[in-house]
Amino acid sequence: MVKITYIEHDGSEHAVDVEVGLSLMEGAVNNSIPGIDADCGGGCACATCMIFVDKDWKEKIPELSDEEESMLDFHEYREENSRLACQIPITDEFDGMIVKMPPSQQ
Amino acid sequence: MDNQKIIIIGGGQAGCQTATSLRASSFSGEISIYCSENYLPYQRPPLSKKFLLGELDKERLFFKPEKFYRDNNINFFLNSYVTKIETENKKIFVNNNKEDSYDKLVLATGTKPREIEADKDSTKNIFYLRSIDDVLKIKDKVKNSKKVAIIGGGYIGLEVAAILKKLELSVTIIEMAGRILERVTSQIISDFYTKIHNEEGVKILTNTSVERITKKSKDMEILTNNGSISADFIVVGIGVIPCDELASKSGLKVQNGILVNEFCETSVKDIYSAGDCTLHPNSYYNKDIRLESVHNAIEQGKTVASSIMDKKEPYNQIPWFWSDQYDLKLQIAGLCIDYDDIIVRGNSDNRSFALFYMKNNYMIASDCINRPGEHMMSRKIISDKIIVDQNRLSNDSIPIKEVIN
Repeated sequence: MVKITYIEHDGSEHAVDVEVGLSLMEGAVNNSIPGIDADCGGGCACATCMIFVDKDWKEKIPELSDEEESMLDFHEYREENSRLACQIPITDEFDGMIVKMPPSQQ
Repeated sequence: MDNQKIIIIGGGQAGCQTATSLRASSFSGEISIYCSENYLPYQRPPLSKKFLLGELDKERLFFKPEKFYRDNNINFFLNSYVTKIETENKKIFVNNNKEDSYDKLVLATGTKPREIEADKDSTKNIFYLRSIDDVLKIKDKVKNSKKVAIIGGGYIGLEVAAILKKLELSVTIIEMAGRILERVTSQIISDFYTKIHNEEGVKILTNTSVERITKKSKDMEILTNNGSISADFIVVGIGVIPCDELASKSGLKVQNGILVNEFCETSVKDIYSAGDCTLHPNSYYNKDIRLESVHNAIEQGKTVASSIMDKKEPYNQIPWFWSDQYDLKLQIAGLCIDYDDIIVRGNSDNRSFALFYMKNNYMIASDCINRPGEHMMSRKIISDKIIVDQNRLSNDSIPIKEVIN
């Protein structure tokens, strides 16, 4: 288990313990955290689980694939540090990570 | 509103979304879900993909952990068939021995696989694919089998073919029509997938109708107009039937699905319906349609919740779907019907290309293979009714984002 803090766009914080091996998307959905829709259930097919990962954590997460990049490119709230939460499996190194959510996923 | 009691029949994607959206809109009344299966709501798309392959554990199929339903005060009744609705008294009857009453009722009953006729002694080697239990049975059968016949060359049949080939079975697809995927896409896509499956060693028989399924010693034997095929077992994917009998016998209007309006209201007051079981209006295509789709189930679930909460918002969505086969991700937007032109971007030889279906110069649908950017862009073009320069669209050297200005 690692501690991940998900912060909604309005500033509401949710600090939860998440099992290593699940994705950052599953960590949010399993804990009923609003702000991540994940319509396709983790198939990198819908771009409704976009999050912002602080640059301090960039080294610890897998690199952006071309597929993920193309999906993100069309998200209304895309930023430089945007990722799809379904594409990031949680490792032990994520303990203490802070993840922020966009105003909406549409 | 908050003293009201809501009953949802069906614990799939649409039922789960309705309950979740109701709670997200701060509905504090009672919510009960009656589900005929023995599982909490789970994702169906991976069933014919990673779950069948064994790359995704059963536990990861569930939308929410059990705790979610407890914490949100959603009563969940598994193994519970609703056999009757009394719309006048607002009552339902469950498993013939229990009754419950509602203020608002939601039918999210989904679909069931269309069955095929077969000799009695052969049915235990015939499998369908709709539920976790269906896949567990197939996985078990795969262990002691070498040859499978798949009846039906639709998305389910093709996805299953790709996985079973990966599991080293010999695979034959039997398709009644002149080409696979005939009902849902263009000749170009059908030809492409035929080629891909053939290269992987899957045999595809088109124009082949099943006349009889029987058992010959240990093997299954499928007699067709095109000769006979033998296999250890058969997977059938010949479409689904909406589960609308309960609605129909309860006096709701039904026509290839439960009829709803743009607010997901049925013909009977205080009864709503969402997901694969509905026949609903779509303003983009100007007709009533029934969709087998995750996106539709989610969006209609949200629509039902907003209608119940008296914050009516019409359902107005471009359908989209996806299919994974081998290393190919197909993303589909819109409905591939009545088009008058096709614009191709990229080359199918590279296993990465997109087709845009046009009608009167407007884009109405797209099939994008390993082209997620094109898929996302096409959804925007279709929904915003953007007129696109067709030469720019087909010019693969212009980045897709720069195709429209």
